[in-house]
Amino acid sequence: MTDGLSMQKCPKCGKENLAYMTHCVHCGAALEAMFSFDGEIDLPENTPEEDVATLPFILEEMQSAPQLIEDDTTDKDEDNSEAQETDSDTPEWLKRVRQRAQAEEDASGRLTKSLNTMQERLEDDTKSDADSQYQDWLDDLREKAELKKAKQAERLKPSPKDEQGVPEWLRRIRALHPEDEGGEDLLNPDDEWTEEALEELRKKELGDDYVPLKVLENKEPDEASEDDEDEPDIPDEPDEPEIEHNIPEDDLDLESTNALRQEEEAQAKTPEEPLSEETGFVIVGDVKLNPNEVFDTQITEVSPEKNDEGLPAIAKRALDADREAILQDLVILRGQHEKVALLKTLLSEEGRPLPGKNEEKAQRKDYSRLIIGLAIISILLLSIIFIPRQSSAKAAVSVPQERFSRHLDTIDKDEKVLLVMSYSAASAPELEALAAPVLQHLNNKGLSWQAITLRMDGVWLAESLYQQAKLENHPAPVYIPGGQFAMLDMALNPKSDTEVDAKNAPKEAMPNLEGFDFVLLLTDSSFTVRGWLEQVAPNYRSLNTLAIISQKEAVAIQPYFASGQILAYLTGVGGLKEANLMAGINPNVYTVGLLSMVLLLILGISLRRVRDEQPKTEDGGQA
Amino acid sequence: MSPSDLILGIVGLALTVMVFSYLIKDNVFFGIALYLLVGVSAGFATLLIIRSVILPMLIRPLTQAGTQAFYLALVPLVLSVLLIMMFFKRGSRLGRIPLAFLTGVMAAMALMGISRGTLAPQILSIFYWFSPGLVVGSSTIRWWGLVEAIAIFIGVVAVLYFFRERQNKMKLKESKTPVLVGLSKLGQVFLGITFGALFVGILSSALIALISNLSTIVEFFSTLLTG
Repeated sequence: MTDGLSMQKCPKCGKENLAYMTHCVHCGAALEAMFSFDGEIDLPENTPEEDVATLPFILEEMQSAPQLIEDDTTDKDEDNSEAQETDSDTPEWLKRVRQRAQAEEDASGRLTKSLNTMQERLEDDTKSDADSQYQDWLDDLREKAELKKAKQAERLKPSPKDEQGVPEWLRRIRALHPEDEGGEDLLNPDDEWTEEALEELRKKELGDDYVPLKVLENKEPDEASEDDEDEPDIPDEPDEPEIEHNIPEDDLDLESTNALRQEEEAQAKTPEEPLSEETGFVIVGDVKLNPNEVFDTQITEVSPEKNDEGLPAIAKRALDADREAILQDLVILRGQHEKVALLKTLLSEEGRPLPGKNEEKAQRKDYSRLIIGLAIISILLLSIIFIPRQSSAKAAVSVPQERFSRHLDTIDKDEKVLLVMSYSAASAPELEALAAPVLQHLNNKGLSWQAITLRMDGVWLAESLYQQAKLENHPAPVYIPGGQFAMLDMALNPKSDTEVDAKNAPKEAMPNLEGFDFVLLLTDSSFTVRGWLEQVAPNYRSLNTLAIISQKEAVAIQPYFASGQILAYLTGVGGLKEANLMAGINPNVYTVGLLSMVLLLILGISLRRVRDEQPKTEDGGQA
Repeated sequence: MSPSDLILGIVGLALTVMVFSYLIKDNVFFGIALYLLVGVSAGFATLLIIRSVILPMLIRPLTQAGTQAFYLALVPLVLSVLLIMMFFKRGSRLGRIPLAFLTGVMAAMALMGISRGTLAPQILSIFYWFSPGLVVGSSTIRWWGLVEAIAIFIGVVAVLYFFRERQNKMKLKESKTPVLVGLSKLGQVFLGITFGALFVGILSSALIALISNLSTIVEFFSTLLTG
């Protein structure tokens, strides 16, 4: 929490303290801080102990200062001007305190204001400002807590009696309440005290924390302190049900969330409404009243060993610790306020849909896709029905197709061809239309060929291919699992018939590549072609590679054709030179469809551009 | 037309129309056709894997205890068990072993394959275009061949430099030499032409598939009507 604050070093011990600290939290020495004038009473170090300013002394001085007594009949502005003019005999530190309180609204300013409001509370003035009320209430609680702690620390060890027989705890009470010494008979030191009277006095002073002295005497001091630590200051509240939230646990836990809520409730209360002690502690710390978590107890706590230091020193310490605790609490409060704001935002947004999600889409019916699709389908259907099929002999044949036809013609009857299939059902019409005439041609020549498939669906896709090629009696292709691994395995470990039999696998499942002269790749993926050329072809230089590939991948294998790694490939509907090897697709329909798609593409691009420019024009007109 | 052909034709027609209904919007009929395809494919693949992979390559060798095939089959068995452990929270780390094995083997295989099957042959083919035998044919210079070779060389260099320039731009280092900037632009042009050709190929393939399906439907109806 103090990451963003500057630090100052103690001139005595050299340890770091917060910038607004007036005294070192480690050694108690006075610090030359920038806010040292904020209500601090700088006293010389060699001042006798009796002259050291104590809390009652400060309060007394504040009461006696005429500048602190505000005139209700005058305005604030008049007060300010009067205070500046008439404070000739006001101490310098008090002037600065008051100036600071009026000028600043930050944490240090509030501190000085709190001192002023303490005086105002003594006058029982009714305040309308919620912040000052809250601060007063916080100061009261702080003072009570410090006194309570001092009492608890005193209670831990039975105090020794002085020469006159007065117990130490009674001397402290007298020091804390000097004004009551003459008024109340209980605090008259001249009276003779009995044990019962003392017990009654302790009971009155300690209130709820009262423990009979006999019980304390029976206990060891450490034991007693442990008991106090274990003992909760307030009854345990029932465990609240866990609330699901998306707040990071380290930033804002559930307890602090409840604390912030209670803090807000406390701020919203009217000044006349009595505030419970529980609510007050909840604001700066835990839900459960645990002053050890709320305040810096390392400074304020009085250890039993240091009880002999004397009451004025304790009071000074209590004042310093109180001031320091208030400053720390103000810093905490500032962070808590920010967290409250964050929590409010989160709670208000909880359950609401995220922006952009579940937003109602613009109910604009777009029929353009349907219209374009129906238009293309209609054009194609009409073309299929009415445009007669023509021979592809007139169509221009590309170089790869011409070479494919030439190699197909030059294959001898004794040569063996391996057909490697790897295509999906979506590409089946295109590839089957190209491959069926080729297989029919090979079959007519009486060549020996074998088919394998690298895809699982190739087994039943081959049936359709064979049906188109009129190869009903040819054995179905064998599925070779493993993709490129299988290719590499085929290339590096050509299986002999003996090995095949040893694994009880079908003979045709393990083709021996050494026995083949041509490989015909029937695929819709350039990766299959690449895999074959990378894994198998380098190991079998004599194996000639041909390919029938989908047109969408033809561009990707073009470099392999240019480098001579593929002798020839067949793609698209260009077909071969021979009319009888032409694919089953009517090329005229293909041409019509292609022209239609190009036209629709151009039309779509134009319409899109017009539609994109339309809002810009409207915006420009509005501007 | 036989009854089976008729039924299959009607089913095929119905499925085609269901797929085409996506043109209107994403509807339940399109979903049914899609899930039907996925389900049938998955079921077919499962049966085929059991029949072609698990039974002949794992189960059958394991039944021949003491043989070489038996011990070899233990390796995929162990790897498979480790892979199955990925389904369990405690043993998910063990499942990384077969994945690491696969990844390593695949990387090594791809590296060797690319260097031997793609990189070296492609580089050699570029220089092949500059071979004197190809450029100078029958005592006269084949100017077209020389231009083609230079174009290929410039295209390769320009595309490579375009990617280098792109990396430099990502590092906020831009080349200020006009020649290099022009070379990068030229590489961009080559890439644009390549992507355009790929797009045309995809469009063409889709069109062929559409024509094929529509032709099947037309043939089905013509057969149905003519008997």
